Amino acid sequence: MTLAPIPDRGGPAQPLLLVKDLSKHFGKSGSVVRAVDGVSFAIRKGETLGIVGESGCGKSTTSRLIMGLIDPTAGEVIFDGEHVGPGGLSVAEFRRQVQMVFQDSYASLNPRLTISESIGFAPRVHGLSREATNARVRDLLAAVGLEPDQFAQRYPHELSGGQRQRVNIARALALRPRLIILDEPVSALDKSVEAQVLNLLVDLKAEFGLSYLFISHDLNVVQYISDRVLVMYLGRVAEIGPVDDLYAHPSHPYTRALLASRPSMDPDHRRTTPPLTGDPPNPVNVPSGCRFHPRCAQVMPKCSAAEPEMVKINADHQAACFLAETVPA
Amino acid sequence: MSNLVHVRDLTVKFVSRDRTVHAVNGVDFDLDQGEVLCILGESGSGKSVTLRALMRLNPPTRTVMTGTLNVGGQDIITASDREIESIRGRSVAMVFQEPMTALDPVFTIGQQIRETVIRHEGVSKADAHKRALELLDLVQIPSAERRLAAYPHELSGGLRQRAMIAIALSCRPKLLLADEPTTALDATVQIQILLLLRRLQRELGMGVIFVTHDLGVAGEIADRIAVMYAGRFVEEGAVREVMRHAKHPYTQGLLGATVHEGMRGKRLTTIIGSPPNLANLPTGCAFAPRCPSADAACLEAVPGLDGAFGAHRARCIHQPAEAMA
Amino acid sequence: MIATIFRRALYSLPIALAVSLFCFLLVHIAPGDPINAILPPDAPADVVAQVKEAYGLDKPLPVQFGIWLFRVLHGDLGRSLATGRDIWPDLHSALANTLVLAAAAAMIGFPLGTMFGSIAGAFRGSWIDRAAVVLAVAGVSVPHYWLGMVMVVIFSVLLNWLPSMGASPDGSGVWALDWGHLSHIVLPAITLSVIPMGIVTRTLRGIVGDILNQDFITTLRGKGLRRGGLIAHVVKNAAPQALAVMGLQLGYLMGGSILVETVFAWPGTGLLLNNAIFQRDIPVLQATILVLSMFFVGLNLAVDLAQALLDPRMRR
Ligand SMILES: Nc1ncnc2c1ncn2[C@@H]1O[C@H](COP(=O)(O)OP(=O)(O)O)[C@@H](O)[C@H]1O
Ligand SMILES: Nc1ncnc2c1ncn2[C@@H]1O[C@H](COP(=O)(O)OP(=O)(O)O)[C@@H](O)[C@H]1O
Ligand code: SF4
Ligand SMILES: [Mg+2]
Ligand SMILES: [Mg+2]
Repeated sequence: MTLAPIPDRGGPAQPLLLVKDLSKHFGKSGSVVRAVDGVSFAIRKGETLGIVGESGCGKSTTSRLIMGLIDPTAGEVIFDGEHVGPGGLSVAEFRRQVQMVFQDSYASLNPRLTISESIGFAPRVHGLSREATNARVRDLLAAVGLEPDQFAQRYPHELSGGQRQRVNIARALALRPRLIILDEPVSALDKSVEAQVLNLLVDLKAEFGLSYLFISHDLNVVQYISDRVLVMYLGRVAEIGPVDDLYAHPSHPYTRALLASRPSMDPDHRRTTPPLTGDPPNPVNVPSGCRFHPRCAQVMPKCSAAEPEMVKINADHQAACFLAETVPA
Repeated sequence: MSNLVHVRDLTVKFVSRDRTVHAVNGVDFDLDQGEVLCILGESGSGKSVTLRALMRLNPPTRTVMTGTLNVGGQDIITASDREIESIRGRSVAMVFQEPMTALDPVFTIGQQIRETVIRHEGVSKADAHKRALELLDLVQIPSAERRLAAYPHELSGGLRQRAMIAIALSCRPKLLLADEPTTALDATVQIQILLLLRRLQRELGMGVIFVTHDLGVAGEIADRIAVMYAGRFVEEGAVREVMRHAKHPYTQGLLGATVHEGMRGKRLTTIIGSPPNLANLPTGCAFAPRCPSADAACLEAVPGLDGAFGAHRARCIHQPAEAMA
Repeated sequence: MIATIFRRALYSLPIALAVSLFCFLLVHIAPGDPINAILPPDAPADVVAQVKEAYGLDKPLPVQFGIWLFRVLHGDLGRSLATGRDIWPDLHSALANTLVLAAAAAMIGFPLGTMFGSIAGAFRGSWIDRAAVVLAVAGVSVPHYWLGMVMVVIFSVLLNWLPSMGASPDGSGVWALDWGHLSHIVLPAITLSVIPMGIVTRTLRGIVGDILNQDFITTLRGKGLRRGGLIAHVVKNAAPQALAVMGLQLGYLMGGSILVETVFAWPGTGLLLNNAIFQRDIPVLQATILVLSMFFVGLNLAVDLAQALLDPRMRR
């Protein structure tokens, strides 16, 4: 077995990953946590889809559902046209094609394995020979900017946070996946290191022909790295669209509030009023109608009565708000 | 000496049997009543240690401080423990990064506010309670009576940080020290807390020293910014000056590396290498090993801050043209 | 809070039931006919029949358990094989003596352990800390039996200061608060207190050290609190865990004093158990274990409730 890259099946027009009505409810009846509640989206081949939203809105749960680390309450995941799960793409094969990188670079590595063992573990399990694995580990270390001679035999605690995150990325690349899910990969890093890792992610994507699902609470980072952005609120999709369109013309009041919460970066035009009051709500008691209505500046009587449908603003841009309007082409 | 805070050549070392960590290596600044200074720097640069030094809160057995350190006319380095204890929480108060761990989990918010008021003002429990109610009102915590009876884990992150601020303000301090108070919060909550702090600072006329690693946060709240690297201020000046015309290569690197609007598609500038080991500092400019403009001269001596006190100045002998900022 | 008390009490019910079931089955696990475990082999036939009838030994096991439980709940613990007397009066006085001894040992061991442990935790790495660690290790590892003997040799035999046997000067098993009785309890109580003292020292050292390293201690110092104010916070934070350990230790003191009671001929449950084991007096064994276990269950419940009372995060 050589672990060759997996060939494309459905052609460029077929989404790489399709998520349909995915839900995850934690807990028993009485106090159900609706962490993810009917989320649908697609990741196209070669694109980076960013997910933003306040903490607790269900970003990590979504990623863990896609990875099959937890079982969904409802919904399905389709990878390159094939249903993932019994009767379709096996979870093992899916996991080879989809890899994940987490925020906590230290907790994601086994402290007792050297860097080279950590990265080489999965290829060895998949039957790659020792020599081939070693060669691949060295290539991967070089690809993520770590000198193989210097780092291969070190242990995780001997590395800085940024270096460890590079190792995690190298490990995610080891099986030549097609999609990498990055859950807050730079949130724990210093700004200068964050920039290094973002540059690296951009390079690797081109070099290996990857697609990314990039999760972050930092709107600037998401804007920088994503092609399309999905805004999540209380387990639901509030708005999704191409990054430039969405940042320039946010259609959902929540997206507008999020964008307006960013620091101004201009001491002469500082923010004067907070766009939102209060803390992100808890998905135990989900508000009726539009989930955002208790915090929405433009709330109308109907907002608490009925849940708004996804409105198509233009071909690629949608928002779940009664005020969102289709822009005539 | 009319400055609220007056610091000259402050050094803080942590001495243990096997090594000495030089966390702060010669910091000078003044802070006036009603002024907001942001100390900006990456992790490990000595921001928290500097802040804690102002209240002598670093671990007493290991810490060695030298230099001049005056807060409200009181010499902090030579003061007795008793004198320090009566300054802490009264004329100088502190807000921490993680309100969850910085509050005692088994005492109610009300108890934690009251004990400060009672400690410093010797008022009755009833009066302290009344003050606590006013304070929650001041930091805009609704249903104050109920929240005073709550334990920290029963509040959301934003409310906890507001409660933390209420405790800090309980004796109307002249100087508020804030150590990354919004770093653990969502951006939507961060901006609320920043605006609250800005308003309170203005209303109460406090001097504030605000530590952050986030340039955007500094831009929202600072009058002046001091950029810290390896235990020194490498650049300081008015917030506009530093943000728009950064002088020091490190500040310029930091600005280039901070992702913000309009950078999409451009390559981010990065700072190569990693910060120096504080147990073993290089002789010259501590940034030299990572600096694109460094030469042999940089390694000879630690560059001084050019320019007059309070002016926009930087510790670099080859100040590059402000190309990328 | 009321709901918490209720819920916790409810949780201990199945445990109590399981313990009783175990004690009940003790008679049936013993080899031979259960009747042989309840009555002496030479018991007259009419007594055998009477007991068989009373215990329903011909009925199915669950029914027998029900009958047994009913009798136990009404204070009927059966008769001793060795003496033929009702078990309850003897067990009652033995229990009282053990309780007195355990309480005395706790009153010596807990405060000392708390003191040593807290000081050691507050001054981690200092010589006081190292001394406390040595003390704790010694306390936990010294064998009771040996220590008891040494004490007897020194204080009773050589110095002749204190009595070495029994609970009272008159040899009766009844406890009273006077010098004669107190002098009898000194040696066994000290011997028994050594292990809990070591364990409490070790635990409190850890707890206090950890608490002092927490962020909120910096906040409290930053508010200008003096030592007294800080101690109040440390105590309230340490109390739930400290109480849990002490509760457990008290339980061990109640049940684990067999050796000490044997060395000092202390007429408590340990001595009772010891004798019952040697005489194969299964009803006494059964009754003693049952009562001690119930005590343990009750103690655990009390500790649980105290913890919930002290730590708001545990009120669930
Ligand atoms: N294993 C779990 N059991 C119960 N609730 C959970 C679990 N995992 C996550 N949650 C809850 O689900 C919600 C969404 O969590 P998460 O997906 O981690 O949010 P995010 O990553 O957007 O911050 C939160 O309210 C969280 O408390
Ligand atoms: N109590 C201490 N003992 C020893 N070293 C310390 C102590 N506190 C901080 N340091 C060290 O001092 C340096 C500066 O720390 P700090 O001021 O916390 O940095 P930051 O800028 O991230 O706030 C770091 O290298 C840190 O490890
Ligand atoms: S639907 Fe109503 S409440 Fe929801 S975002 Fe739109 S305007 Fe606001
Ligand atoms: Mg998450
Ligand atoms: Mg810090």
